[in-house]
Amino acid sequence: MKPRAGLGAVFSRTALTLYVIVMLIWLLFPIVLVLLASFQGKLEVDFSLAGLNLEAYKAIPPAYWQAFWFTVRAAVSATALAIVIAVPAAWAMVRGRLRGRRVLSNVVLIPDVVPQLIMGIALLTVFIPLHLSNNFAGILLALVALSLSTGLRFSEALLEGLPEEYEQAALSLGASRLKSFLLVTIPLIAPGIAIAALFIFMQNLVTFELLFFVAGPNATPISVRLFSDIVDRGVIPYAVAMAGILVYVAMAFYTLVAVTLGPKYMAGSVMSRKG
Amino acid sequence: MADTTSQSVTIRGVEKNFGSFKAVTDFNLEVAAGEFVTFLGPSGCGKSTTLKMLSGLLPQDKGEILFGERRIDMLPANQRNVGLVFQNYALFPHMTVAENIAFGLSMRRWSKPRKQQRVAELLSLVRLEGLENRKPEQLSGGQQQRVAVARALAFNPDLVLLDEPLSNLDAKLREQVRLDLRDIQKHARQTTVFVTHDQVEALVMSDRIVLMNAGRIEQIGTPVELYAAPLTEFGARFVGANNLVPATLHGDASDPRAIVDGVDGTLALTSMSEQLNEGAGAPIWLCVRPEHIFLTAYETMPAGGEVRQFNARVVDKVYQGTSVLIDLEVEKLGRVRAERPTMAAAELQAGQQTSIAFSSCHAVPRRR
Amino acid sequence: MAPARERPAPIVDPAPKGRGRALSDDTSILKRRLLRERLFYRLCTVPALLVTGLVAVVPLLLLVFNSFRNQASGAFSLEYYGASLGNAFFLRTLATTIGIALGVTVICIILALPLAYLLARRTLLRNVIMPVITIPRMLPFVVIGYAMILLLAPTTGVVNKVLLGLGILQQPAFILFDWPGQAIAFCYTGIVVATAVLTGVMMSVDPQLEDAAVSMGATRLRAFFVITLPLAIPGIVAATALIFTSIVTAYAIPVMLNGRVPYMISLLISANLLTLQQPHLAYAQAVIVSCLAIGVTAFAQWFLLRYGQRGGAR
Repeated sequence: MKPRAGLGAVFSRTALTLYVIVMLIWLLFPIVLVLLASFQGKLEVDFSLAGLNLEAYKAIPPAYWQAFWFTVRAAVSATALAIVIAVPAAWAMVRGRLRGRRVLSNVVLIPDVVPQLIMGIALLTVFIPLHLSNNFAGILLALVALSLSTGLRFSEALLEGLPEEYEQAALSLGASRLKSFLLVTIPLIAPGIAIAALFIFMQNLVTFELLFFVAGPNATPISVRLFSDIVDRGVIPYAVAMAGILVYVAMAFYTLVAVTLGPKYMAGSVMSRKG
Repeated sequence: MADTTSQSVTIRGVEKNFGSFKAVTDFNLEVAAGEFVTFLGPSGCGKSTTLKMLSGLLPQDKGEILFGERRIDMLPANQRNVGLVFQNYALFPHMTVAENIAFGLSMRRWSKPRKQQRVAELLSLVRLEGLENRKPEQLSGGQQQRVAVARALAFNPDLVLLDEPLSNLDAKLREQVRLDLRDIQKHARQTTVFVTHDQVEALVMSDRIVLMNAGRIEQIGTPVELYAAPLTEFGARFVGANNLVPATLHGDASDPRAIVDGVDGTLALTSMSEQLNEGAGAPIWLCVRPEHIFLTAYETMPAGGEVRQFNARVVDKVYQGTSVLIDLEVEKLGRVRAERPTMAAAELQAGQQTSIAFSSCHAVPRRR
Repeated sequence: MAPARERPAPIVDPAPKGRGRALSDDTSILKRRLLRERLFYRLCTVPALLVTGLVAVVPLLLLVFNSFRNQASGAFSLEYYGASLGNAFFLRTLATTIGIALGVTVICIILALPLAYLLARRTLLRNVIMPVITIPRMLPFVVIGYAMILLLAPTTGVVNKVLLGLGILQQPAFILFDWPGQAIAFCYTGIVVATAVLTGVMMSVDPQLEDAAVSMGATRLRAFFVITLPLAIPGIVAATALIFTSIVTAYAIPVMLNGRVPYMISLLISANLLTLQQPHLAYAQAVIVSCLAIGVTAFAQWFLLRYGQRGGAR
């Protein structure tokens, strides 16, 4: 090997390592900043790490916690509803070999494909006369519509991965279609559906732009609450603390999925969400 | 073992098309109660499709199916009282062996003690006692297969259907399981339809064989009939190996003879089929099984019939354990395959010149 | 055309006596059962269609419909489209939006590509970095906005404090509530999304192809450019379209980090809708932006279809 190539290799290796480190820092810094600031109770980050305290966390007002639990309730309900609607639909599409299957998939995809800004504006106009704006039901409906495409995609994939023979065996043994669905299909796809539910829940928890237009004083998701406070009043320490809490929730979610599935899964499924 | 409720099965004029593709055409069959019938044929011949129609998982386009006196072809699969054993067994992975076997009984609302007793009966029938609480993934392939059979038999079905259940087993296991299955079926006096592409399996296990090709029935008969007297060229080639020698009919009904193409003289046809009522000059195949080609240099021909001898060159020799397959290039006849006991062919080498012969009583004529 | 049949086909096959039901009854039972099954399956898909239809399709159709109607009179009119497309302010804002989106997208893709490649090939690295990429996507945009403020604020932001402290700057840089602040925020989310998507793309290109090239004498770098990159182009195009459209239609970050001059078109639209009481104008502008977004996505799809399955995909 020529010595020049050796030097080149060393140079490129250090350059590469530097690049990865820089990228890592870039990817990490917002979260690090937010977490640091949340423990310092100020509006600026002090890298000397002096005076770490939990004051900001303790100062989180009840209104924020209300918004947080409201969001959790809405996200859980929307996820449950989305699953309950998507799984039978996917089952009918896959097992029933429906001819309009692609049409259905594409229609359900619409809320996902249309930019949330546009979707939000459209919903605003319709929800107001229906008294669905500033309303838990309105938020719920919007989230369900958004979650259906993910739910359907997961369910379709799960059902196609499940050999039809199991349900056929159940039928031949005397089970009705409903019984075979409940006793054989559901238990076998349940683990996959649980993972799907987790993903959908997280998506629903952090949806912002869509819900901004249909939210109101009575129905404020936490993302909207944090947003309006920063726009109206600037950065407040306890708001930063709340943001920190959301980071912990995201970390918990990631740990849960990574532990059950392995990190490889994350690249594929998270990839599909526009973020 | 309780008395079975096994029924006879009648299939009349059944047809199934997928778009313009005719998967099954004009299928007619009567299966007696307790009989073991095999659908035999190459991939795509329609045997699995017919099985699915019997089970109710696939509706037929035309025709009727009866169990006993009762017409069942409009019933869905879960109302037909049919036991189905899948090629991949399809044991429910989330249930134990006992729960799998008892599934059909649970659907029929049997009481718990009755179910337990029946499961125990079946486990001893398939010789899997003690494995009630295992999950399917903890069982070997052969064990899974037996659980699948037990599950299908549990509720005394009118008919048991097996869709190539042995294809996933290794050869040694397959031989053992064949005999096991046959024993179980005889013991239970269960009407059974078995689907396979392996003609040895069919010959070993069946009371009767339905030979299928391209959606149609080629021949229905006992294993002996199908092997010794295939009605069509397809049957002659598919069931067992065969050497097909082109010849022409000569003579008449009182003294049927054949002229082998390229060979002087005639050969008496000592085995005739009624179908062959062509006149002289009609082209035919003479079908000679490999085990009826004799190596005259090393063995004596059995007596009977007219013997014809030919010079031949050994092209290939394949050792099979107790027998040897020998491919020969025979003068005037072309490529011929012989199967002889290993001892008889011990000294034969590839490339060697030798001579072979066959007797007219082993030359079965078939229309060409 | 064949001549008419000599006798009509029997409606009921002459079945032997004692068989009970006639042939046709049983066949029609079968037909009815199959029909009921199909109906049942279709019924299972109705809730999904209903929810999407009522919550998404209908409002969108209404939006498009109203964009063509005069706000006061309700008459059909193209005035809002005319007012937008003929308005210099609207066009300029649209141009800056597209410009920022394009610039940020290109930067993000270029910066993320090598990292994505490394993550695709090195499982260990991927397992370590995966949480770093995934967690930001599980946070609402507001958190990113907070982080930007903490970073770029004039006096209290990290960047300014460091640069002022080091003496590089004499005065704090006011980049936060201006287009650089928004662009940097977009760069962050853009790189996160780009890395995640491009890692998937790179993983779908068979590494053995590259190995084969290297075994035949090419350097790893050359093999990457000649073998892997071309095969990844369709995925890269898709990622580009995705990031571009998400920036063009972004709302949260422009509002949070907005200055005096609106650079992003979503601000115009929301202002028309919420403050200026001009909803129909907002609808028309929303339709225009949607057409842009859909156009870009459609182009990417077409590109993918045309050049997509060129082999090497796993």
